[in-house]
Amino acid sequence: MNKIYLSLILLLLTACSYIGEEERLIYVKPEPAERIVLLEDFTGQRCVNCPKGTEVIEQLQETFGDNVIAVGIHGGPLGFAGNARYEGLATDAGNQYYSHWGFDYQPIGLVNRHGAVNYTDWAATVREELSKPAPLSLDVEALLHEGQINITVTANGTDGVVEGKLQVWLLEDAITALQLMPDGTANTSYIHNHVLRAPVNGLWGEDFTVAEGKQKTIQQTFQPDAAWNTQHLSVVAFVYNNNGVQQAAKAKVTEQ
Amino acid sequence: MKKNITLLFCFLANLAVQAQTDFPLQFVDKEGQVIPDGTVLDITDVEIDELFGDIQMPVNVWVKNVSTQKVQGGGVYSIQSISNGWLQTCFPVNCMRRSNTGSYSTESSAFAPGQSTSLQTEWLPNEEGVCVVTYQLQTYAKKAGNSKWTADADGPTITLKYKYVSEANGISTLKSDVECKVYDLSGRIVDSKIKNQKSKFGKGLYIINGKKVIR
Repeated sequence: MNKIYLSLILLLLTACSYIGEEERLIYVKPEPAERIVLLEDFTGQRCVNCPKGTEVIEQLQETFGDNVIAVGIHGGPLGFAGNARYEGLATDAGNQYYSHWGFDYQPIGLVNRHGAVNYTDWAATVREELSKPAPLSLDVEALLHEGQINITVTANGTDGVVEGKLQVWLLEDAITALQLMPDGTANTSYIHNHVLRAPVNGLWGEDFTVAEGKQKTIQQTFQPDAAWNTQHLSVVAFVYNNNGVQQAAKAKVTEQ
Repeated sequence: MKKNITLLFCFLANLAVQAQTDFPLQFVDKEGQVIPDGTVLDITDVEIDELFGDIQMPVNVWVKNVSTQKVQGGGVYSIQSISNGWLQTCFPVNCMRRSNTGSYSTESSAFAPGQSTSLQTEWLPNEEGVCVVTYQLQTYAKKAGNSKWTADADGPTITLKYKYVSEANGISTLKSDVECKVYDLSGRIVDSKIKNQKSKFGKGLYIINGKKVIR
């Protein structure tokens, strides 16, 4: 009887076939991330045609909702830095970005940083970008606590290894400020939305890498200018490299 | 023979003029009257922009589609001289500011039949000087196999000759009553409103809306 049991055990052991190390685990690829498109609008308060660009953005946001993140970057020769009577929205960062990209006119935009796009072509370009897969997902949280904004960016790699830069910007909505209009008149009560106030982590961001299936968390702290309305602030984070913007995310700044 | 050559030249010149007259895009004034090809306008009127504090010399020139067809149009412009400041052009879809001589082109835009679009150009001088610029209208077409608009025919030209000489020196005049404070170099307010004609302060260097102005 013992011989029979022993034979059965030996049979079970010898019946196991060899499974290669690479075949022992079944890898499940992460779900593809939803593409969020970044539209950088290079604009200026002296630019009479720039409100036309803003109209295009409003239509895009109506159509695509949160899948399009617009940022109004005031600067260049038609930007306005302000005077004793009127607030200017141009920033040093805006001027440096404008110069860096070598633009010639305004309004002009970057859609996921694939080269200059005239505002008349933004809609078609955004549609094309939305159809592309994203290699990572991004999530942003921005909490205001004792005058400081604590920002947490969480990235999840979903396809290959993404290397590049992580850029974090602070934006403000609903700013009432001067704007020249397409008919040549000046509107001192124009509402400016998604205005770039400041880069949080330097003009060109910080080094960033995330691998497929891995998660990465980055934290930043930023003190907003006292003149900015903290109820209208939001944070935009995006990862970019030589192949353009890989993914973007936006979150409103909320009280902790 | 000489007479024949002269006649041929006249015929060709007439053809060229005819071609510009037939061109679908024309420069027009604010009443919609066509400004003849090759017109040179002398501009000396000055405004002080109370919002931005700029000295500006705007021009009321429009571009009209005088044809019955929709036309894709734009233009090129050549700045032959600019003593200082910026030449601004917001036509037909974007805004550009130039501070150097050279040749430039605008983007193109669709013009419906009868549509007029302002050339929206002005010189913003920092101080006395001149600026000379020639604009030429163009129509655009899509070449076979290419989805982009490219210029395919040249139209009429207009030359704008700006000359800014401060009011006290007798040429440029301020067009409108503009509220602004005028300081001398010691920071004392010497005037708070500039009328159409001579202001009550004399020659010298003043600060008007944050800018140095020689009068």
